[in-house]
Amino acid sequence: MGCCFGRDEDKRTQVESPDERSRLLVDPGRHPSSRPINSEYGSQSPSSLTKGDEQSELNRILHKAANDVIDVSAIDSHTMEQHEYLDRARTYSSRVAVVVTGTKKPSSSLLVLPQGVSVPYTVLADEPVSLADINMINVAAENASKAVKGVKVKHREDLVVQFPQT
Amino acid sequence: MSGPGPHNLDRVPDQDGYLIINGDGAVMASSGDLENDERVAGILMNMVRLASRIKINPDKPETFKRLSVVFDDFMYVATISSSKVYVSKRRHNPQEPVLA
Amino acid sequence: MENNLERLLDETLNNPGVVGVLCADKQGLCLGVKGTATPESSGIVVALSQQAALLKPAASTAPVICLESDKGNVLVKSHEDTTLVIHKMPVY
Repeated sequence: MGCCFGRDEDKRTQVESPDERSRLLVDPGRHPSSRPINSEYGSQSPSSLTKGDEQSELNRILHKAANDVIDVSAIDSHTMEQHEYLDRARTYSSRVAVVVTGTKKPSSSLLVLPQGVSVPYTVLADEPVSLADINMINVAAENASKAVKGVKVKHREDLVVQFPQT
Repeated sequence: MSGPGPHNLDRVPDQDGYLIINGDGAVMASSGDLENDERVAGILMNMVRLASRIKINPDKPETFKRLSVVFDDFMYVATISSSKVYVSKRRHNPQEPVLA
Repeated sequence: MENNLERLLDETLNNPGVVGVLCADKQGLCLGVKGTATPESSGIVVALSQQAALLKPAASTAPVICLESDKGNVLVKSHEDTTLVIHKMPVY
């Protein structure tokens, strides 16, 4: 049938060359050089057996925090030259200009309501739809339903076609 | 939630209730049968969004001025004004004399 | 026979003020279209009709939906699994 008013999704995936979508910082979880932080807290407190649960919980939180930290100094980041900064700045500003001045994104028309009328009261209080129109569409819809029931697919040719084998 | 406002919606003839919905779909004012009726508000909001994508006139980009949903005994009428949706539930009397 | 549907659409188009008709099935597939109505709109009108039916789930018949403007009206009504749309211009 095909989708009416369907929109192509932005199918762009991660691009090889660095652009505005490439990550500046690498995920530390996958980065081999990210240092594990020593949990000195745990080793320093042998007398805290009674608080073992609490201690292990604290350790767990500490490890979690350590894992979430992106250690910027440990990442051998690709240092950008001055001209690269300028290039990127130019690319970004030109793309922003296109977005701002270009045609409105079609998806926004789904969210933004049209301006509409100035005095809603007069529109709502106006005469209702004429009975003649209501009757006309009622009769026509009923007849259409009957007519559609009579529509049958007549097959005149075989659905499966055998190609001659060579 | 209810009460008369500058919109005058409580004076719509044959009315059983009204709703005023903002662009996010939240009910801003309501009365009568439609008092706090978020279900009806949501459905009508969907309908208004769908309906504003239908061209009334093939030559002009104009969309509807009023959306009516007519049942046997009552009808909902909706319109858009300054990015808000105004809905009135009105009694519908099909026996009214109509001479074609 | 689809001739019946064709004939019905032609007959409806002959009513005063009617400038377009469209017939669609419950999935939004356009089964027939004449005049100013466009087949692309069939999915939207069927969705509109399905939303309208939710307003009164106990109703035995579907409501008539009417989009009104100064330049004309669009009437939508579903009967069983078929939706009919009529585009109408004001007649003076």
